[in-house]
Amino acid sequence: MMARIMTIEFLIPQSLRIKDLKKDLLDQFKLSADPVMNVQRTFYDSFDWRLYKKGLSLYSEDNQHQTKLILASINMTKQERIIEVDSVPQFARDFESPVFTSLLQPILGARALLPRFNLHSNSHLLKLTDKDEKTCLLIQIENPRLEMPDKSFRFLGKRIRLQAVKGYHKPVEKISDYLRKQFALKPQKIGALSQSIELLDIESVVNKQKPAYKLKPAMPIRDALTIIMLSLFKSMMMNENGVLDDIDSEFLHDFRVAVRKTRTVLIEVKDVFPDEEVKSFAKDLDWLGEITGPVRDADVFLLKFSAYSKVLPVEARPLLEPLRAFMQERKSQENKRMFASLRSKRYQKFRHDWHAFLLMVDPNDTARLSSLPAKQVIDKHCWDLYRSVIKKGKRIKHSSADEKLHKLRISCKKLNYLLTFFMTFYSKNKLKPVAKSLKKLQNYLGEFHDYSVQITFLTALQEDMAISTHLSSDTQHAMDLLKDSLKESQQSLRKAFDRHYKSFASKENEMLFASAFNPNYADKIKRQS
Amino acid sequence: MKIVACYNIKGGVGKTSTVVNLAYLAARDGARVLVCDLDPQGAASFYFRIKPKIKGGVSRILNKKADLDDYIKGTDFANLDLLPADFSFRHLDILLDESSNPQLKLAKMLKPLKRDYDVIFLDCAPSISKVSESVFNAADILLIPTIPTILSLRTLKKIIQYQKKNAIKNLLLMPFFSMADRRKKMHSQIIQHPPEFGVSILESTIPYASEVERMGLERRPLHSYAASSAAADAYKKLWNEIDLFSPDNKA
Repeated sequence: MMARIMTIEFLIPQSLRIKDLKKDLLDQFKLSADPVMNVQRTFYDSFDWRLYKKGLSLYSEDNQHQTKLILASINMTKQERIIEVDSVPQFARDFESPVFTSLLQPILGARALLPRFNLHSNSHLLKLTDKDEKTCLLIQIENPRLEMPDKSFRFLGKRIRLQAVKGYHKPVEKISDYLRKQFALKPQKIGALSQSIELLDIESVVNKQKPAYKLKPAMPIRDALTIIMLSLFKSMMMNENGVLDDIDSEFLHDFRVAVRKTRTVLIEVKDVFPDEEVKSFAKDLDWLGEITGPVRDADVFLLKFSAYSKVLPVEARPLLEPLRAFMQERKSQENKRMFASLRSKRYQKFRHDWHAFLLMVDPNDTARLSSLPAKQVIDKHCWDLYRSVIKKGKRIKHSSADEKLHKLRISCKKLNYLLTFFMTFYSKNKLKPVAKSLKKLQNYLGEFHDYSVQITFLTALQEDMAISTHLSSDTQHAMDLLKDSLKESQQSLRKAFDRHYKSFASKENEMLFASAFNPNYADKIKRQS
Repeated sequence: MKIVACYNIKGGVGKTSTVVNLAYLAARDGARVLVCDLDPQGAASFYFRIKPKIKGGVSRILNKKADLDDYIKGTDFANLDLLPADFSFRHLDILLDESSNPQLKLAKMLKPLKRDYDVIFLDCAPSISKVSESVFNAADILLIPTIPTILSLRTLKKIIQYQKKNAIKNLLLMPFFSMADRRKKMHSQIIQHPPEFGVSILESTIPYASEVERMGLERRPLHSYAASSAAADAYKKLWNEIDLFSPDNKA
């Protein structure tokens, strides 16, 4: 059976006036016309284009009487979903529609929806109804204008769009035949949305956000590390405005990750850069971690708040609300401090000096390892880090302090960063199983660490709230219940350490790491076995 | 995808208006919704101004000569489609009896629609038959509109017993009072002190209201012409109580 035409769009030549086309259609077919509307369509996506990357478009359609929000696939392969809204929520979690929240939350997470571009048009809507006054076909005639980033407008061309209501395909076939024969109109393959995406070159915008650098195994380690740190500097700068504008918590998260990674690259591989500069910049990077930490802690707490609530029985959940209010207040105070630090002379100077340092790394510097081939240095470093993880893990007993697990997690994290930065040095077959086993252990340690942080954080909060008289005995009790539940989950997780560690420290895994980073040692194991 | 069937052995208890209004509210929430009008009387199709006609009759679908999707029609409301009724539905019982595994037939027929819809509402004909058995096996939720009278409560009890006797699993029964007239002493008493049948009756009650009857004249869901009426509010409360899209929903 032939595919039925559901939607078809034709471009209207300049010589044909919309008014004349509309009149002709009204004369020829039993159509009714709605009043002409001025429509603005605003397309939304996150800063990092998460919807676009998933092939989705989310746009509001405002015609002065009502605002519809439409979720559709960019290539129109799936049926769109439409809801009416008073305003477009900033976050997926804030939608009144539980369906939109459930569809968008896994994609957007904590990312805010930002208006990305606008299309303006006068919209002429014609309808075909049957004898029961049931709509069978919608015809939209428009002349869309794309609002460019410089606020100028680009006309996309007059067009007529026929949209069949599901199950009523005959009228659309009839009228599209008429348009072809009578006006020699040709179907337009791409709609105004796809045209806008092309004109705004969104694909390049998205690609520019990805870290892009090429590292060669034989290049001096100094150059390789500099390239990585320049890319991380770009990431810091890209997120800086989002942090200062307080758009969403991911800007700060990504900013902090870039800072942390920079610190690892700068400090971890020793004897590559002059010692004095390393010490000075490391101090600044530590400072950046410190000034942004309290806001991030508050963000994490607020993001996890609904999960915290669910730990408690339904009737006890409202008792935690003062805690949320307290944290929101604290976040706004911490935000002020952080903004002041990020606008301070110290930060401006760091930013300037750090960038200048990266751009002018001296190829003739005398640091011991700076000219060695990058792969040679990284092989040794990854292997040493792997051995250190094995040793640290071996020393952890049932009675060991949580701090030891935290230190092990940091070593895993450093190793993971290096694997990510230098993945192109290794064959996928060798690196994939290594990275997978490391990630497994890291996830376990990360989850365990999260519990420690949350329990400590809640204890400190209880004290702070008690001092500022915000804490009722009921809320105190609810927080105790929450802490008990977190401690219980942490303890049960702690029991699983041996299992996770043993799996990572297995002979098979040792062979995998050795094959990737220390082939001589791998040969030795093979010979011994 | 969730399947919500609206069912009662008795006719005239407000099944179709419940399906039409709840389907409208689900679609307004952004869900992709399909209403299957399984009642040969075609009242749901009438409310949506769609001709109750399946070309070639229902046997074409049952015998896999045509896809169910080919007969689905878009309504005048966003996100909301309808599978119209057909007069041949009156023979559905016999046709199901002739097929293999009749009790699972409906679930099997609806399965391919999982990709396109978040919720399917089944507007069932009033009877207890092979069709109802197939509905019970396909549905996640069985909404049972019940008029607060002694005879209606007897019917409700029968449905509950039927589920237990036939060990129908994964079906959440949700009875609620419908067409309630609080001026009637018996209605008020039953609503205030509902009997214990081992299945809790929803708190939301749909009143007997002229606005609901007007759906026949308006031929559209209540909220599209009398959004602020008491009856519209009652359907909204019922929809909120069913809370279909909540992660905590047990269906």
